[in-house]
Amino acid sequence: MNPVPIPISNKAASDPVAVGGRQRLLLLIPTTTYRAEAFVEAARRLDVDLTVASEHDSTFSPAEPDRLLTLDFAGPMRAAEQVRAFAVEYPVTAVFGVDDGTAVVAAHASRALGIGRNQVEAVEAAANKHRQRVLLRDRGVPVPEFRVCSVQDRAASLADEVSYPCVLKPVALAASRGVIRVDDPVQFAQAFPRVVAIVTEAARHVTGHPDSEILIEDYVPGPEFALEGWLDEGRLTVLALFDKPDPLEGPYFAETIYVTPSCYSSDIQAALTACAESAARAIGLGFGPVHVELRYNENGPWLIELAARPIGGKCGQGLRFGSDGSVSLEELLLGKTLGLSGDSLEREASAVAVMMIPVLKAGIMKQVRGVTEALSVPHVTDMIITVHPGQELVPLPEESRYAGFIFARHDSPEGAESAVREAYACLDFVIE
Amino acid sequence: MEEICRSQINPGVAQHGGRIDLIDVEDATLVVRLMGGCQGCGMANVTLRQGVESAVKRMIPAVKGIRDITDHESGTNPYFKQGSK
Repeated sequence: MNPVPIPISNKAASDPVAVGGRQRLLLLIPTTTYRAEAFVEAARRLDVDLTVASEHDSTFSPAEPDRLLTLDFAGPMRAAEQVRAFAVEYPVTAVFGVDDGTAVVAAHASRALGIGRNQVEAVEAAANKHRQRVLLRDRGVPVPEFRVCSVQDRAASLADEVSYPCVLKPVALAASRGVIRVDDPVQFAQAFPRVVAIVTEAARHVTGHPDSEILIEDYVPGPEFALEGWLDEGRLTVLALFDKPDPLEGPYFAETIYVTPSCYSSDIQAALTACAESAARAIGLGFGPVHVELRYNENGPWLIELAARPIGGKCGQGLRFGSDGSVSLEELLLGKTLGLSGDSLEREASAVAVMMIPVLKAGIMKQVRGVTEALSVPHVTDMIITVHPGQELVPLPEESRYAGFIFARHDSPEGAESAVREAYACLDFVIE
Repeated sequence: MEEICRSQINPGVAQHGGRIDLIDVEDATLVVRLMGGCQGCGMANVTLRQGVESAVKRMIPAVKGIRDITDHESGTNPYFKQGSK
């Protein structure tokens, strides 16, 4: 079925303009992100006035009121009012949120300032797995069959009603946390209370919504892909299409290796791109970054999830743009958001692989052996260990933290993938 | 510069259990190491760039910038813990 087009109005009330000769970027960064440094350094390279807003006060906020701002990220409408008050004294050219939650806040704030490029409702839909799927299904984008249930529902009843294999997904969580594949009613009855416990636990610390919903969707077989893209007036430019060479078949869905460029045929890549673009249009997004998860099988592409934000974790660190590869993904996205011209959306020629190091075992981290050996593997360009001795580690699906990231560059995707695998094989995480 | 760190900067970061040590000055760039709650903190770079650097440049205009040599991955008790995204 062809997607049903819906109109997209993504022209800003006023396009980005410099105020008093300088542009001011308001960057929304939650305190829990891995990504503050990458975005702040990118903004500095753009030579614009930068204000960073977070949900908690900085001790320097009183001394630097134009550079540090505290916003109610949990209340986007209130945050928008806070931004409007801030902009009276410090006019803002553009607002950018680095993750799902702050993207919604950025949309509200941009609307309040009259500089919005997306409908708030579209960004909110992208941040809600259920609402997004309803829109995609209703507008003809291929998505798995799904239903949504409450954490209050009875597992035994649901187990008899769903088809198998299926995947349980907390609506409000990300990074595969709480995502479990089940193949029959017995597995369902075991998995459902586990997902409920994860949702309940997360509500205490992350989402704040104790009655969060759980999505139950058909399992879609086939290789998975991640598409990093930029939307402008509804047209999608692919910044990178990543293959995920390790099969993601469950029961848990730990991301491991991303490799770009894709090894799949140009026809398959074009089909994936078209699916992602039609999904953005179906949701109503017309401007800004998108991160899209897709699968492909004999029935063609399937849209698994779309987010109105860039790739998470430190994966974006591997992507470079511009004629000399000197432009980071973050710099490119902020520059495009500000309407700065110049940088090409074309990625550098090298193949890149990123490995997200999974936490395989629960326990206390004692040490990591083999770091020097891993870093000395040819074509490995960087490695970051993001856990420290003494830290309690919990694997998926209860938690979604990675133990680190390995990056490699090579002439070929296969070579880059081999390099990160070889480096990972050098590592020994001692967990007791 | 050490006096500014002691009297103007560190009282602020101490509110989050942190400390900034001035290690060296290279070509008018301050080389610093972040300790305590600042080491590994998700917002350390924001504090450094948007708070500390701005304040220092205002007090000493000759300062060009700040270079952070902290091993943030080894931080055991960051004030803001980084999550999964």
